[in-house]
Amino acid sequence: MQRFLHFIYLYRTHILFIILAVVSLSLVTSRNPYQGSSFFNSSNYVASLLLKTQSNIVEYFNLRHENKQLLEENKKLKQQLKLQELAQTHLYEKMSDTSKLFQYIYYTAKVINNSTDKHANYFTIDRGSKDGIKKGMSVVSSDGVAGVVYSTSRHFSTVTSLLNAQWPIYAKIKSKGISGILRWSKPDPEYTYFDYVAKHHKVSLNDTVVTHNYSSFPDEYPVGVVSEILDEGIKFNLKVKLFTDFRRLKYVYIIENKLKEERDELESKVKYKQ
Amino acid sequence: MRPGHIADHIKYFLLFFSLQLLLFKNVAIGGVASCFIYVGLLLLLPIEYNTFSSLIYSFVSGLLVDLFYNTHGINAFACLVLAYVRPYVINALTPSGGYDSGALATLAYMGPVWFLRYAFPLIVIHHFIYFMLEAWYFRYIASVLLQTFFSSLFTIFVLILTQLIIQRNK
Repeated sequence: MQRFLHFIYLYRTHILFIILAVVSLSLVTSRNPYQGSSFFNSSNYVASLLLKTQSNIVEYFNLRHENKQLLEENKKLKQQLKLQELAQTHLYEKMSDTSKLFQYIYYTAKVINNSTDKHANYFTIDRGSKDGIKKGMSVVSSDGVAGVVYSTSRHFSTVTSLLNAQWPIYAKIKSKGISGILRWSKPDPEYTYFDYVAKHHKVSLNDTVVTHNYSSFPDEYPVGVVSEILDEGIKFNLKVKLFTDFRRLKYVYIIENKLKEERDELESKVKYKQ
Repeated sequence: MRPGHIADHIKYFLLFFSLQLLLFKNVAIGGVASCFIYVGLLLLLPIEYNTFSSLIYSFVSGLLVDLFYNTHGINAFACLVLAYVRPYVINALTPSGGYDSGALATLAYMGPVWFLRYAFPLIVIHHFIYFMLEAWYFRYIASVLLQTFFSSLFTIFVLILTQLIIQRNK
């Protein structure tokens, strides 16, 4: 026993190194976009408070750009509203179930921490479980898709950014209904890749890529436009210019899908999801 | 560590961490050169500082940076390896006649040649581990090496610059 303790004492630095290495490497390998503790990421309370203060200061330098973006968005919304009115006055559709009308609820949030230079990028927003944010909700900017809520604390949440090579989502080409998988890869935060498009499809440049209703996003939410078609033997891989400017991401909307639970419950009875 | 050294170290701690988290977190020159100035904290520990404590210190400071970077233990591991390798590098660079007792691993105390030979390999080790784990797949090795090289240059440049500025103000 004495010799054993002496051995431990003699090699204490090596033993400590091995223990700490195992701890940190297990943290590294557990970084899965779908699970994870909120303690070791930036939705942790102390980290978020600091980041929030920082973003409050930096915010002022961006006001001009913000204003322009808001104006653009208002314009777009007004146009949509007009279309909606037209549709309602011309089509007297009978509504027996109104729950589909209010399926999506929007929350707003400010981005207080963001990265675009890693393989697995996340950003932090200043809304948490207290404001009704739950894991798995979709996050969009005024221009297009931004990510999905990854973990929440009381006042903050971390969001898996669309710029995350470990988190592919379903998407489709709007006008043609061609579906495929959207997966970002380093290093350009302005482009992502739309992969697994079969060769017989006729894809052309400037086709709009939107979300697929297989994913948790609302159907046909804009993602980007096709900017380059890469021929990869048996399939096409499309380079897509993103609508969301991730480097200047400041305000986002979190979308709650009221019917998500119902759908998940139904789908969990059959195991056909990935 | 003598009390004067501790006070100095706290100053460096505050300076390096605020630089790291408020400024360098958002900087990546050309998408390849990022600066990890907080690594300087571990490099500037006194030469005879015992490895056991420096391992704990490096782990904690790495974890602190991970918290803000959303990198889940990558910085902690890279720092840990750095602290583990550091005594071997120091041994290999022993000048004739050995180190003075209480010697500091700083630019002013040991001179520029020793400091570069000491700090640069350690920074490269840290950065390589960081970028490799961050990329995760071996097929990104080319971009990892590129980032390691330019980021190491960036880090050591800032590390030397901060030391020069602090010395001047003394």
